[in-house]
Amino acid sequence: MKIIKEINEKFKDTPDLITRKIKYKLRTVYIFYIETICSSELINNFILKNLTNPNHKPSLSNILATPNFKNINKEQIEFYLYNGFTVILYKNHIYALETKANLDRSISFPEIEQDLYGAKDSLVENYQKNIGLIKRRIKSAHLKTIEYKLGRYSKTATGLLYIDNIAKQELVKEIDSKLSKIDTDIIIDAGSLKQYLAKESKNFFPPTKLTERPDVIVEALLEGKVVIVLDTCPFAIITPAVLADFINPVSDKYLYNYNANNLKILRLICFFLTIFTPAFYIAIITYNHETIPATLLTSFITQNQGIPFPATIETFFMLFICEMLRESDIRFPSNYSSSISILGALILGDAAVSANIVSPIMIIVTALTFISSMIFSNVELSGAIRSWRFLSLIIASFLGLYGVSLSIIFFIVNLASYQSFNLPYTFPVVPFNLPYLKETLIEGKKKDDTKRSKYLTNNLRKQR
Amino acid sequence: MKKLLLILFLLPLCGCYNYIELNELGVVSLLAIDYQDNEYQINLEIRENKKEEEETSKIYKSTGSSLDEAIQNTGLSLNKTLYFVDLDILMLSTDAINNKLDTILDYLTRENNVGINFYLLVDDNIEKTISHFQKEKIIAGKYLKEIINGRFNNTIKSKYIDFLQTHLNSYYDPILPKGKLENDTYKINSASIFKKNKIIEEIPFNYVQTYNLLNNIKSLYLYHINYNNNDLIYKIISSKSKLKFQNNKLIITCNINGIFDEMEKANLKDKEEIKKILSLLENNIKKEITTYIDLSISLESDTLGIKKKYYNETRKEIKSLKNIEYEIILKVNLDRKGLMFYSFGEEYEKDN
Repeated sequence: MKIIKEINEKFKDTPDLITRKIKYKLRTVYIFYIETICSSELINNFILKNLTNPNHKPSLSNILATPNFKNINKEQIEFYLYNGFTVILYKNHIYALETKANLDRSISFPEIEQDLYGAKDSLVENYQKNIGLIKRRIKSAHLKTIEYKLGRYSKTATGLLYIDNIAKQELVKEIDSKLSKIDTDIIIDAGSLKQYLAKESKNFFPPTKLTERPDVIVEALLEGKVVIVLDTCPFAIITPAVLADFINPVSDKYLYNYNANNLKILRLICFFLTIFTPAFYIAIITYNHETIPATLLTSFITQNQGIPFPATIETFFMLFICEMLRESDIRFPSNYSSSISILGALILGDAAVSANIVSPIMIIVTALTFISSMIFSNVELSGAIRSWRFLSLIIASFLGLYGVSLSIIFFIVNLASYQSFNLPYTFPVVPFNLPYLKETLIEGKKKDDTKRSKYLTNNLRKQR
Repeated sequence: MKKLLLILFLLPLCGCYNYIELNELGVVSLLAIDYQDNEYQINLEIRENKKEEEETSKIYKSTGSSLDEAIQNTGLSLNKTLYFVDLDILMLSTDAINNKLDTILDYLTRENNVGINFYLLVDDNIEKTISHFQKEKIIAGKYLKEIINGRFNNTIKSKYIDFLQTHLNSYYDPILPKGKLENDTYKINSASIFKKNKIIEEIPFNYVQTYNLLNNIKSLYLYHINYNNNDLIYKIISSKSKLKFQNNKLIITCNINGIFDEMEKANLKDKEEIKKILSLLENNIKKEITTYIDLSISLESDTLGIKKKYYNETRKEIKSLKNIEYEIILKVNLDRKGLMFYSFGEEYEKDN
């Protein structure tokens, strides 16, 4: 058959493409499948056994009892073969049967967004499983999915999820048009996809949030946000995302509001501490000594005795070492992690102080900065915080406390002038919106949580 | 890119001029100024900090025909930048005050590098005082500040900013604490009172106590009386004083509440005895107040702000204190063993 020649030609140097010919009702059935992504057991049990069974039923579709059985055309053969389907040619008909091998891992604990309360399952590299995890929590026909195949070579299954009676249609259409316009070789990760969605901006802060937790996705959908799920990626993209979303984990909703609010205050303080502490330290140590009480000043002077570097260089050095340590901790195999911790502690701790390279107060300032930054697990947010930290440090090294205040003003202006999909980044503080403020920055009582934000949805009422 | 380059080039041009490393700071704890033979003689006590050692200080002396020159001469022999923001004590001799007070105050007020929270102290023997503290290896500025600030120390607590306000006010004459070495111990138990910005008299401790009492300063007040050959010490717990002009007469009202330090020396259960003791006490304290007021009037030194009070009442100014009539209304109360003892229970009541 001509089509068989075309298939053989197309898959010429593909040694894992298996071709079988089976006699069925005096005709030949041609079976094609890619061995490396198909399950031999499924093919054997549901296709080969049934085809070779002498007591076969009259129609091919009746004897091939797989749940996913499609009639396809010859242009779709490549797509289905590479998606783990077995392609059967019989009587000028082409059928595709799902016989995907289980190449992904099982559902496990979230690795990045860990928490004490809340569900312990996380997204995996399988698109269907990810959709399943979401649909386990939202059992409503209002949850809609628009599907795409992104990437000319990868044809990654991508789903745009939204709740049609909550999410604003303008947002859905905007994301839909952006996804439809993507024309690239390959999209295999949410990290690369999110860069196609956002407007070009020089702002360090991310306009979208990546999450691996289904409960976070569900909360976002119910607020009127839109979620993008990809195959081969254990992260989903939530849009739009504002600063308040990064600072507050969804597990605050599982606590009583008083306890949750204490934690929120702590996180907010840590957010500013991690960005501005080194700059503030440099400013008061090198320019504005009058802000330090006399006893503390003499203590600082004593500690700085014999340190050969200026305080600014010392600070840059320590921050750089800590960033190196953090990066190596991520990249290096976990078997070596204890060695890195010991090395880091030795370098950053006693040895550096004993060698008079850094002062003890510098160790404390660095420790405070990094411990407060560890509260934020989002990588993009950490990157933005790092950039602002160094920027405010540079300005403070030249201008002192005046520089710190300038950098704070610049920071606030930068945040206030930034938007994520037409939603101001300082939302819900500016523009002020009480319902969303209660979702993020202040935890109210559950029974008072009756409304959604008008900026995200037209369906404002939550509770009846 | 242009904006970034602009910022990068502007930052070093706009900043850095007042960059001082911590190691370069010479924190001055005490500044002692004397004026002799048309020359300023200054002593600067600079804190020295060494790792794993106790904090010490070092004295730098120099002279100059102006204060700036004297300080510059000190700076030339010092490898640090003088830092006066954390100054504890400004010690002035009587000569420096009487001849150069305005110049000194002008310098300290204009200089950016000087704080406003240090205390003033008069000392006529600065060299001896400094040598004493050097020998004892004590940081003089910190030590003297702690004496002046001490809760139980009845001294004149004169901060620079308050002194400056009083000095510039034509209605008040300032008063400053005075210290001296007595038997190898430094004591701040007297004060120097001013008239028209010059020191005219040194007053002893009991006058200092009276001054603080009339100004409602919270401190420890002790009054001795001799009753039945017993030396009773009356300690004031609370007091309230008020100076007011009424019908051209200065009325000084004072309500005092206190206890006896050694209660066993008097029979406090006898009401008549208590009355006698209180009457004796009242006379004693009234005498102290009268003596102080008379001294102020005779020296024309208005440390209590009498002229201001007269002006507030009558909207007229008085040129001299000498014609002032005054009356002291003093009420002294005795706090006997109070409820604290009764709270111990019936046993106390049975015994007493």
